[in-house]
Amino acid sequence: MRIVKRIALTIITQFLLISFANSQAISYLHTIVVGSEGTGAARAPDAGDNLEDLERDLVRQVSLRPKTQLIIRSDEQRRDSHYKRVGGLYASADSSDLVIGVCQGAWVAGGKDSTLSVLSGIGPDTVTADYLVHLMRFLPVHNAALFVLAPTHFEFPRAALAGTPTGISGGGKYLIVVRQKGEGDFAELVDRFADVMDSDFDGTAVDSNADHYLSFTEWLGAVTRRAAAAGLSGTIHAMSTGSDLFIKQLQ
Amino acid sequence: MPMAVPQKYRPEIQHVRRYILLIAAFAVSASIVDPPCKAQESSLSISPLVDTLNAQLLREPDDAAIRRKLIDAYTLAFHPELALLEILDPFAGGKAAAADAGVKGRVQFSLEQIGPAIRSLQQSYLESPSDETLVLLAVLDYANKNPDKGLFELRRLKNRMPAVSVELLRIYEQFYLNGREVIARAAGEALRHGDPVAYGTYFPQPQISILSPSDYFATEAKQTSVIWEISHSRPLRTVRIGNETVFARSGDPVTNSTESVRKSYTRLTTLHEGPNAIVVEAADVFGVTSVDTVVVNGLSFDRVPTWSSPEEDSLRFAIQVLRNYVPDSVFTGERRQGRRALLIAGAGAADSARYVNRALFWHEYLISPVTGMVSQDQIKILVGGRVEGQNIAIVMDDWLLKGATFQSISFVYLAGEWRITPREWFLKDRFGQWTDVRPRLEKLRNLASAGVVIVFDGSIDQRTAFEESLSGYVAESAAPLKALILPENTLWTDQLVDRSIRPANLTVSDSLSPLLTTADLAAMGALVLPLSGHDITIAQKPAARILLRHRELLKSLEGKLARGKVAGGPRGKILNFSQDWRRYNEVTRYLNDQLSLPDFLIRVEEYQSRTVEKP
Repeated sequence: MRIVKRIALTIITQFLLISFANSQAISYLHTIVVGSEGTGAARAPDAGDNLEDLERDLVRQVSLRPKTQLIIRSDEQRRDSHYKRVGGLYASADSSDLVIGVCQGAWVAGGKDSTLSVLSGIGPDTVTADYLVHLMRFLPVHNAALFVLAPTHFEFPRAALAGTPTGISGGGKYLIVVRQKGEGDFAELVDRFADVMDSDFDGTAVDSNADHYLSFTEWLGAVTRRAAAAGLSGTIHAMSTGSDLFIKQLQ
Repeated sequence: MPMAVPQKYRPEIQHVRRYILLIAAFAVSASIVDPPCKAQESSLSISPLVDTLNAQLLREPDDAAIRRKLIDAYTLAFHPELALLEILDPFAGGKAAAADAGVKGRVQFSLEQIGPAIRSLQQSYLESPSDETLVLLAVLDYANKNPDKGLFELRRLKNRMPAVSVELLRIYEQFYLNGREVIARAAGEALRHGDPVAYGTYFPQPQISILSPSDYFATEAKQTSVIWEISHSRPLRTVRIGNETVFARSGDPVTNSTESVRKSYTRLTTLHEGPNAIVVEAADVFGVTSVDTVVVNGLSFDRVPTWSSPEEDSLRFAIQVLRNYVPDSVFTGERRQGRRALLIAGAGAADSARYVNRALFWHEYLISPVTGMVSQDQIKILVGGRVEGQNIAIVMDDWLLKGATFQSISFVYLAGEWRITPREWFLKDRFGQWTDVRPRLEKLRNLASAGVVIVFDGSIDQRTAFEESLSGYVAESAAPLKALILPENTLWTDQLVDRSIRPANLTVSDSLSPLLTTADLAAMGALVLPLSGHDITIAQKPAARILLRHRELLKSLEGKLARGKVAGGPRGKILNFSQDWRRYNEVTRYLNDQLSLPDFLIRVEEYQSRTVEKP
């Protein structure tokens, strides 16, 4: 009888724990890092270097449980499509999750429509600016940030983002076009951005509302401030707005 | 225990199962897609492409690419149920669905599963970006009540996909003709937003011409025939007039979507009092709808039998008393053609019930064969819910003013709450709105008719100003016109009954008139303008008529008694008996030799013995 009681108690405890976990809507982090050093004249040196380190830095900074980790080298000679992996990210992401991505490479005109400008590369997929815009639109999450880094002469076509509001206005999905202030080579831009992502965001400096929690918008604000301090500039395009997400408790 | 099948026979069993499955699939599709009786008439072949892919799949049952193409072909041919059966094929192990979110999304799109279709097609786009998928997603955005998102997509697509409008039209046509109206409407809406010019070209509206009646035609009839013609370059689905369906296309599939139509229709439509908006609606097989409206003003403002008022009841009782003693033939001599009356009792006044009761009293007084001179079809009454500005305008413009002739005498009773300005006389309607009646009364004044009597009643905010304004109004009249303001006496109708219907209240004299004129109303305290000029006859005074007739009878009676040399005693008895007007019948019978002198005397004595006081 005592054993039966113990089993019943265990089952009830497990049931309560599972219910509690479900009600808390656990958030996961999905990362997508795309790098293409380009082909022909449209080259972006170092765009494909250290993508794994960059992805690791993202996971470390945000401190959410990682779920999907996509690293795509567009100039890689592959037979299968990277798109399938992006589709997998779409299928596994939940609305309470966070998606952070970085896309670095050179953009070339892909037709008379600027939205079809292509990320220069060899791989089986043709990543267009329109695809990135739709990736941001379609991702089934409330909060996402995609950083786009491109060489000065092969910039991301801003016309693809025409009509979207700029600036951070709470939670939402943001596409951030990062550029270098003044003249400078692309490798330096990539290095500086990697340094920004490598830095530590713990502490009260990022806690703008002093609630001892780091939210998605606070993190994004801190990244842009660090990037500005590192000699980078950029424009934040809000693809959609949503409720903000708490990332972690600050020390 | 099941018997084990030898390995070498397993492919044959698989083939047999496949045939059974296909036959079942076709049977299910036939029962779902078409009614049972139609299934026998149509071929089992859906399209050559489907036939070819089916044949290929039978040869290569494990080829996922062929299966996906077949599912796509089913979806494009608008047989989503068959596509689903193929996806759920147990021999394929559900691999088709798992393998391609696009196929699944298109089937969900065909089945109008909006949410799941959006999710599947978004995933499909990310796995294999294509503008065709974005077109479907744009349509789904419209179906999901997100037109802004849909328009965002369409504007981008329009730059690089010239045929996006054609694709939207194809989706619309395919879905609408198959009864999937959610997606059809969304595609139509997307096309209308994304390419308004193309929308107007692809979806011409049916042309409706209402030939009869003309707009704002006014009639006293309770029904009117509406004749209209519809011409269109597409087959029509429905034609309606009001809530009645005049034409409805059968459920047969549309074989020729460009077939033009030109047809006339006629329907008898019931008219209510006031403005009647008759709406004709035509929809073609693609749901493009055209509407045309004609307004017919119904003038049947007749008295509703259920209306009643105490004043009207008193009047009827008094008239009935007269009829008990005097035949109707005595009163019916003065009915005149061309007499018309309009009675309006405003519903917005604080004591509006009193004015409604008075209007009903006037109605009964004017049409009763004993008291009135107006025939029943020449009187209109607006009380209660009828008192609206537009009804007042309709009945005054289309009936009172249009119907006036040289010979007509109009009586207008206007009661309710009045707001007077130097140039406007506002009457409050049932919504509390003010209607200026002066412009129409000025038109009535200027008509060269035989006479106009306008009776104002109710609560007047500026009495002195109104009297001044009214004096100016009547002074400029082209026709004989009298304007009256009735006194605010609650017993006024009783007084009128006493003076005109009860003979006991009148004294017979040479000046006694059997007609009720404006002068009689002035004598009862009404202000009559202009003060001078000829009086206008309004109705009859049956009491005066009876007394005058009775005086003539007495003279005839005296003459007959004298000629008959009747002795003084009986003669005195008969004359004394006949002094009362209620002896009308006995005196008339004696004068017409229907009653002999002895019988007349017996009748007199019987009466005297009944009425003599007992000691």
